[in-house]
Amino acid sequence: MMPLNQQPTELTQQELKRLSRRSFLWAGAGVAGSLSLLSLFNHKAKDDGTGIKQLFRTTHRSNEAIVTTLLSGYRAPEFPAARAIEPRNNYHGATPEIDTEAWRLNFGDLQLTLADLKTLPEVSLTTELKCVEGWSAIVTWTGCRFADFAKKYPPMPDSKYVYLRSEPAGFEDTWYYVGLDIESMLHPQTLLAWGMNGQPLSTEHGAPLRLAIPTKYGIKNIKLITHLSYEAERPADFWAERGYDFYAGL
Amino acid sequence: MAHIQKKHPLAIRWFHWVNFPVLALMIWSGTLILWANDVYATDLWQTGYRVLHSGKDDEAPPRWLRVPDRIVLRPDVRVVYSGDTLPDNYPEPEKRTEILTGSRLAEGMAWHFALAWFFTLNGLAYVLFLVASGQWRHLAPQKNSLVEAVKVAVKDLTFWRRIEAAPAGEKYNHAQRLAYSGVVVLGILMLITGLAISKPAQLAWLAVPFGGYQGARLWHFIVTCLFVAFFFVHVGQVIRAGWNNFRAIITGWEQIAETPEPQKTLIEVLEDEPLEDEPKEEPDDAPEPTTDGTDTAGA
Repeated sequence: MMPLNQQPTELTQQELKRLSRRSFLWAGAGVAGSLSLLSLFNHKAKDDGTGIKQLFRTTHRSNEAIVTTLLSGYRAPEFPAARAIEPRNNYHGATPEIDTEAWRLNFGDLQLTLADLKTLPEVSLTTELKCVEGWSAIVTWTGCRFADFAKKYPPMPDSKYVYLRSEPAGFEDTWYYVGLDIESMLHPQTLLAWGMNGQPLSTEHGAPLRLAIPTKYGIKNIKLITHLSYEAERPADFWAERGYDFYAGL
Repeated sequence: MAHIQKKHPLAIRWFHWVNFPVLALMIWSGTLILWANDVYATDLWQTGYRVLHSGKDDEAPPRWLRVPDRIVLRPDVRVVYSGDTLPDNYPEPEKRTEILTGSRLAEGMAWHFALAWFFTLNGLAYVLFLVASGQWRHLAPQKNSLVEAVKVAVKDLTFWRRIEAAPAGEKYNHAQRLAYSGVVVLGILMLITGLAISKPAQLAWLAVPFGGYQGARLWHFIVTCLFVAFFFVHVGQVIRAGWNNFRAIITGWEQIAETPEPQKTLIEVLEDEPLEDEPKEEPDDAPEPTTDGTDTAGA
């Protein structure tokens, strides 16, 4: 047993008071300093224009760099198909009206139909969809691997991102758009999905084509994809513009 | 004269006081994340009531279960429950959750994932320091700790009495040993469950002992509740233990009770005095005392 201190130090009451006063002054200065810093940060630190501080955006980017460096080559857990359930519909609280027949995927000059995509090998994966709000649901997605799509429609050598957009479809005027790093898109579990839980994708869940990417939060699992492009620069992202992490990796 | 002795090393005082605000901000930002969606608040206690209302036609909770508007995280946000009469300009039911709480989810995540580094590094440094300095011996539970801790707890439950200091020569009593080594375990659990739910694909194996992603989320929340419970008991006990004990975590020093051994007589003190001065009275021409053998090795 290590004793606390062999020799108690003897001090006059005055010395003890002085010793305490010095420590408490330092502690008080520390508290005042921290509170001032916090207040200064809250009021003066630069916002990055998306609702969070620039410093936090930098932290998100550093966390992304750390995670992509340390932890690549992983797979999201997969589950037996029997555990699949219908996920909540977070379609902005509404459901678009779309004409599946008239739908096309705009890719450069091409206008791809669902039949074009279905020529690619069909894959079914049961993975957990995780919402940034905390809820999650195990879902079976059916579609083609984006990696197979990219083999048929290859990116440019300098492409680092994939930009997916959803045109406004009757229920509100805003576009929904997500930017994704190409490594995550080429991940073998990333699907362009047209089926859910053994059924064709319903309108609520993003018919006719949506992204199912279990290595990202739900906000990146864009429904009703109408436009797809490869990008060299980091593209716009609906939720990153509203203060969320662009990478949103799981 | 006051007899004082060192109780808390400077490093431990730093770890303690850095951890306090960091953990407080972690819990605050974690609440912003939790309240982004109210499904878990309902499920945990099965009360049928939600911490915040999402627009479903549930029965209104009794007044005592309501969160006062003042303690909600934003002054312009009102907590609205089902059954409340809503103003005419109140948003569509589907949009209420987002308007009430979701608007701060991004902010909560930003704070949480930045501060997590400070919590982790400070915690790791604390544990490493405990090990390296041997201070872990003061707070590691011993064979009889559980039994002794119950005795201490029973004694301490007599709220009208002043609580007892640690046994002589010890830094902590057995209840403190269990509590302070317990929070180290809580901190480790916090880190593991936090990693498991922030990287549930990359670190999926971490969530397995907690029953998967949602299990790890629940455990992360339970551990938070235990930290909060620790906080209230800890602060309560510190208040009861008194000023001398509290001062030690600021100054490092604690005043100790007068030793029972008899005071020296004046003559004994005077006899002792010259002995301390003896080395100074050595003649100037004497060879310099060398304590280090290497100095003379080459001569």
